[in-house]
Amino acid sequence: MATFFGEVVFSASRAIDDDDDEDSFANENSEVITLDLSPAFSKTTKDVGKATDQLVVTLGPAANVFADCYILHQEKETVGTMNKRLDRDGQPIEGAILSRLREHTDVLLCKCVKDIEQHLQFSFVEQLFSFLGNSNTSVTILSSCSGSDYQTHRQDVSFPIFRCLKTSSFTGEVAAPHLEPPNTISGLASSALSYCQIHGIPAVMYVIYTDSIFMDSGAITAFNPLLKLQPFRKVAKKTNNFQGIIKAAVDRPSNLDSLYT
Amino acid sequence: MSDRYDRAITVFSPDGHLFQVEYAQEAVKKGSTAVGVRGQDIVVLGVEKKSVAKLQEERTVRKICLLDDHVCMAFAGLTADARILINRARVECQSHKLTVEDPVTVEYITRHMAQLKQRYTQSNGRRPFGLSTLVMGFDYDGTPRLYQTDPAGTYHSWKANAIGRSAKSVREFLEEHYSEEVSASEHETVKLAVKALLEVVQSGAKNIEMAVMKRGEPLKMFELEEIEKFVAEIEKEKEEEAEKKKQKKAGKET
Repeated sequence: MATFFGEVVFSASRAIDDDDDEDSFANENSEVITLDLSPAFSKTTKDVGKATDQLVVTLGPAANVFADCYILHQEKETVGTMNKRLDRDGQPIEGAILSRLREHTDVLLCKCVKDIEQHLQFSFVEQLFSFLGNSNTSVTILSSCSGSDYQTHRQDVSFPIFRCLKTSSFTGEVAAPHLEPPNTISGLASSALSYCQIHGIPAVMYVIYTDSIFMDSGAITAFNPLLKLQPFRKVAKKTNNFQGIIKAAVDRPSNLDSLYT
Repeated sequence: MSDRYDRAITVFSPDGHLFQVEYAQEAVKKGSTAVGVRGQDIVVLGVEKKSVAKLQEERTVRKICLLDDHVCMAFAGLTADARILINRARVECQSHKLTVEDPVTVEYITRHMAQLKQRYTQSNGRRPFGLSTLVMGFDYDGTPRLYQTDPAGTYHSWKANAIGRSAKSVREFLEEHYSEEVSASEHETVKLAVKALLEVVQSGAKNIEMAVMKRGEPLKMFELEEIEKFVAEIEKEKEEEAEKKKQKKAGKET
């Protein structure tokens, strides 16, 4: 079953005996996602929304490290967090951090630090865009996928592969070739892009297909063509600790990876 | 289309591919870089050292292994496959020595490993070895040798080569900078191997391991200080070259 922009909704299999899963389904139904604003912004919600011309959403480790290297190392303020809770009063688990730079208050960055489950994605997207409230906001989504998801007849593909998908109201320049059919995008990136398409919000999603199950520097630097376009051209500044951040992101799992030498 | 020809490695696809062998070559690219350079009187192997976990014994994570007193190899790819291949090669080296009372030639042991690898590309139910090797050493007549094998079971002699991650860019670097003059000098041969590795190893000497073999001498593993000397020399040369270019540019502008 497909909806907009290749979003595929996976229906539960009738072949599975659901009796044992009743508890987990019960939990799923009560899990919520809430947007919790920082004290400094809780009374100025509308102002933040009105002031935001560009929203950048980063999903996955490669996009997050790219944001750390070029944007988040600068002086910033945390606008709020999107928190997952088991129920309305449960302990919050940070799912995404909303921040903006002091120098460029018109650019809001939403860095997703945890995977957002499928049943929470719509709520996440709805709350995020309701908070913005500004229909002139332009959205850029950065995400990454496994190379094995990339379908092509060509034999000579080399990873990382950089592609984009955009809404019909997006008229700006793109930094990557369009994602070829029959490839589709799923997950939060797809939910966000679908929402933008329905509500006429100009949005573009960039995806990196990488063949490594662990983070590698190639996947991070594959986003570099974005630095020539807005909003990155305006706000991006390479951190002095660029190599350090990349190394920390790349080295962490490779210590445990003894499969290849 | 390729997914119908993945399962049994003995099956060719309609356009002549053995996909499992090609996938094994992809596994090689996941291993860190290894470089080999053959000089007239010296052969050098350099590898990008893998970062070792805090509690792991560093000396058990090695990419350079001795096969016999006069033959050494570096590999890139699946660690476990490398262990099996190295053990088989070592046994063969000793078996050969006991049988014919002569040490193996570098070509002989390389051919032995390549034949083993090829057998695994043609046997049903087995997958190919997911590694490439650089085998270096001296034959009993004193000739230096450097060979490379790949998962398909092919082997070739090289003057200089690289395997593993970013092997293509390192090989291009070697093609540009290798010359008979460089190979005539032991120091320059080692420096070329270090320079080639520095193209892909960001963090310098502490992530590089070097092994050299000279005619009639056993394998020597470089200490960190020795590698750091080479790195410092290379960096100095780079700075001098950059300075020269700057002056040339300033001269042209005036």
